[in-house]
Amino acid sequence: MSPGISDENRKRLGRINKNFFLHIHANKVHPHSLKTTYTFGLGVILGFLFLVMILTGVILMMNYTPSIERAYNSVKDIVFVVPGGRYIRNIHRWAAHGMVLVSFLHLIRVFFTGGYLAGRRLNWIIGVCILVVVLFMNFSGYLLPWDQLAFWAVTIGSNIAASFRELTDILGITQVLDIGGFIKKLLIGDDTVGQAALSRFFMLHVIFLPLTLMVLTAVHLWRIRKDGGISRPTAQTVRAVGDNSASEKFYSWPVVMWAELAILLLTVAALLVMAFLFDAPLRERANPDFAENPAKSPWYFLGIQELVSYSAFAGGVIIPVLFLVFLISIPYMDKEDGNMGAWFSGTAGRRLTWQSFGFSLLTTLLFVFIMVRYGWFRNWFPDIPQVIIMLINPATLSALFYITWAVWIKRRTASSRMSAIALFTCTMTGFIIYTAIGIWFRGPNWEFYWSSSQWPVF
Amino acid sequence: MNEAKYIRRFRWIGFISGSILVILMITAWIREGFLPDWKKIQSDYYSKIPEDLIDGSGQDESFIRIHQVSPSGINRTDRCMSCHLGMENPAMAEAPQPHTKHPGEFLVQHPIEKFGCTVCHGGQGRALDRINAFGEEAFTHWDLPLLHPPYIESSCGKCHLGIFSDQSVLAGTETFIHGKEIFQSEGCLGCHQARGVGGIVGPDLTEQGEKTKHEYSFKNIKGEQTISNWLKEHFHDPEMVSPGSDMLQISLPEEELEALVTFTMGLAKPDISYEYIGVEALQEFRGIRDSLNAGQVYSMTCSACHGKSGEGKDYEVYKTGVPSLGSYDFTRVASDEMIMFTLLHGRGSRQMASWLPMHSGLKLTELYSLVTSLENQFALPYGFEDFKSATGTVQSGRKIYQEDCQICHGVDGNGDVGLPLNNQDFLSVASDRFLFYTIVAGRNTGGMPAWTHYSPQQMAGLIRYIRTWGTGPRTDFPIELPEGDPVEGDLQYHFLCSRCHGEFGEGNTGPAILTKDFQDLAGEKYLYETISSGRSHTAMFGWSTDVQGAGKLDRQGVSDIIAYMRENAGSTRDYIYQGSNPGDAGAGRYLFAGNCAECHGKDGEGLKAPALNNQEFLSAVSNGYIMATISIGREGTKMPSWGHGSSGYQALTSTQRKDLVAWIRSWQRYRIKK
Repeated sequence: MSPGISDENRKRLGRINKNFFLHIHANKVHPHSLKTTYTFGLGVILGFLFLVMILTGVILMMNYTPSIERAYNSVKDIVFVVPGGRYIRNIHRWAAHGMVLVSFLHLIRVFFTGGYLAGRRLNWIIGVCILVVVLFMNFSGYLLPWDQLAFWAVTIGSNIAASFRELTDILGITQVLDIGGFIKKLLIGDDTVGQAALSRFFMLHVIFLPLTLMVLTAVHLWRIRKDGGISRPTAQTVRAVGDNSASEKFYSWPVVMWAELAILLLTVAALLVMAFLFDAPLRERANPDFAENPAKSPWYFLGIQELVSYSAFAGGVIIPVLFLVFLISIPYMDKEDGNMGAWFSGTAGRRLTWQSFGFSLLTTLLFVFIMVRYGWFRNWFPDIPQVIIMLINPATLSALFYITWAVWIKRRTASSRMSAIALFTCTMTGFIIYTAIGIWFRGPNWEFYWSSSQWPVF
Repeated sequence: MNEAKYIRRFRWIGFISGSILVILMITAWIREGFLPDWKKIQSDYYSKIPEDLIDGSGQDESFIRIHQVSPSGINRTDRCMSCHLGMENPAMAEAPQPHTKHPGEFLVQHPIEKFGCTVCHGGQGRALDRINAFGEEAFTHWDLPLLHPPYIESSCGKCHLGIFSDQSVLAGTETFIHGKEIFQSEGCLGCHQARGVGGIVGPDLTEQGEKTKHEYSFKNIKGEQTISNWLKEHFHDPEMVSPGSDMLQISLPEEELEALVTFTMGLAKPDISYEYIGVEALQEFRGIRDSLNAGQVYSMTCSACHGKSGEGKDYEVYKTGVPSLGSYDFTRVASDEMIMFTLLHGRGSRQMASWLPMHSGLKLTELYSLVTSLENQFALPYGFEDFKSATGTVQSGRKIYQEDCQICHGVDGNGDVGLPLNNQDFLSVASDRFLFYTIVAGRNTGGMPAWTHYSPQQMAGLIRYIRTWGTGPRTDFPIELPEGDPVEGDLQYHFLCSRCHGEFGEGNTGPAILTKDFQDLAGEKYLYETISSGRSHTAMFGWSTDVQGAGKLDRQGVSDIIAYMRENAGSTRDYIYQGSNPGDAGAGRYLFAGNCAECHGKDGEGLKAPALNNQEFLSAVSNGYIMATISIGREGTKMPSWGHGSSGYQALTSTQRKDLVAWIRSWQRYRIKK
């Protein structure tokens, strides 16, 4: 009975008040947001994957003991004895890898549709933070089974974390200022992976990182609403591109509800299929005396591991930091808001994407070819100072080439969006190539092999 | 697209996905709930047991559950009984696997509640399906697969094995014990250590049975990639399996090889509570064990290189060959001092390691008994009494003398390398007992071998022949001597005697006199007479006359010297003394190059024969040893007798032999303390 609110609005408010779904979702959504070929539902998939991770994670947590004497056995018991344990663990594992993969896909989608433009800069940065947290969640969980795979992956990861040592060694100041050692110690709590690392990673994996992720996700979703929903072309671009979709919005309840239910069921079904077909790996009990050879970090870090094999500081510090700085700086450098809402921002952008992809493919593979076939400076000049290798190696050279390409595109097109597309495409292509090499083409002693059947027996 | 279309589309996707989901979940439920093998096996088992044997806890058909034991001392959890429920049920003795009762009486002493199953059988106890439980497939990633007979017996060894104890055979461990016997007779501990005893050439075997597959390299293995097969192929041809290995091939028939493999797999120090481990094993882990006798020490540590009957190894089989310890020619020239020295010091650059107790785990008593048994391999089978009653002819004695003794003692006992035996003064003081024991025991420093292969008659004849050069021992002089003062004797000895007899009586230009060999045999009469009257035709003066103005030695003086000698005979000295060295090294050099270098190497480094420039060797042997070895040769090996000569090798004169000794001795750069 307050004077200022009409009956219709009161009905609307009441509707929203009594419905939990509508607390999180906007009352109405633009039909463009539902286009599968626009978003591919990646963000929603990611959200549901997170939900699945929590549910399966809680079940696993009840049966797991984070002590180095008992962890492995508890995981064995989950697999053999806990009813459905095998499936729960498999789901947890594949959903975890799914989360990392889908995070990257979502990042790529948002970038190419320009979803960081028009005031969505903060959300973009939160998204990058979420990416980092997801990677850490996966990495921290990777250690928990305490088998050979886990132990040596994290050992390698911790040593990559100590990459700063290459620089301090070159400068000769490691005794005085050991940044690499500090970071490594911070990560695993000791000089080698042991109980300290397990306890620490368990806490991170189960309390701190999930909470952080929940907070970040909540803010991320809230920002989407504040920014006006899923990104879409502005009115001008709609007319320019010729989008015929109705300008009328749909009610979230029931449309978006059905959409999200469908994606939830699809995601879980896919996970269950994976869980049936593939068992999560569980090798021999972790044994510090016998290293896996090759010892590989989790797949998403294998690109970095490959670069680290060229130069620790370049691959372990310069490139990752550069990558993150680049990602975060994208919305600062590209402010051409008119380009939001369309894939590649038009045909010119699509063409440029292909060109950049080709350019990056060629240059990256060229460097890899030289490295694998002929070696690098240390093979040709055994006494060369390490600093030269640190500064000039496929990692830094790739970055240099990509940046040069992007600058040239900027000059040629005078468009920051185009140059952003150029650099982003090059970077992601390079990332994929180095990761692929690390996954499939590196064998014992990090030698290059075309297939694992060629690996030597020891 | 309008709202309805979207809703319809999403409903379809949701419906299909949901159906797949439901189907998969039902499948998972069925798989987990009804299909596991262990559940089927258990229900099969319950259907087999007659009603009255089901125990009173009300277990009926529907009570299918996981059976597990987690003995705390063993630190593992075993779920084998989930399938193998009939393990303890006597009614199941004839049933097929997996229901069958455990064979034998093992469960009486090893109840499942206390031991579990995998500690003996291997396998993955936490698993509930057969493939994972057996752990034999590579994809199971299980390091300790199920053990099949006969290798299962190795598990008995892990707790019960006492390598050095005389164990009674435990039931069911026949193959394992057989393997232990082979291990003890093949001389494995010569290169390998086990439980603190043995050599350090090869890896320590104490925990060999606990090594997982990852600790072996299967690169060169041709057959099955299992540990038991690796061991078999390794024994067969160690160099092929482990390139760079010095291990000798073990040629055994298949059955014995299996036994040895079973034994090797049982060498372990299990990481379980001590209450589970057998007494013999526990004691050995603590380093407590019974002493071995010489035969056991030899067969366990020496036989692999030195041969099971001490025959040594030819250079074609093993580098420069391994000395034959069972050779008569060796034992009679080697003193026990020399053998002990070699045992304790090893031989520097050769495989012969130092067997000091702190390195080898052998006890000093065991080493002593080994030395004694080596020395006594060709011990004289009779005593002096038997000799005394025997008769022999002078002709037979002469024959023996000319064949065996002449090369050192010269024609007609004139002396050469060896002391002149035809010296009147000598023969008149040396009793038959003295001669008998000197011949039989030898005199190491001078190179007099121990002649133990003569019969009493032959000995009698030989001594009669020697006596033909002089008179028998005199018995008609007083033997009453005053009490001697060894301190005085010490001074007198060093003033008068040491310049010829050596500072420590080890011999120089004069013979060695402060040796146990000599002092044991020489009576007061002998010594007194020799010191005071001297030995005519030699450089030994009669000290009771005034020699070179040094003053006379009266009876007291001689008595003092005798007392000193008695006290210091065979005393422990720091070094093994070489004895006198009258040869010319320069001449010896050319002789060596011409005669010896072909086998012993240009600089004595050893080619087809042992190295002579080895410092441990040179510190261990007296010049007499070298001289005797050269002169007599070593039967059973390729070392010819240079005193006698043979078809391929011309005999060398005693001067030439002395020169060779001098040259060989010149390689010694430092002396090693005993």
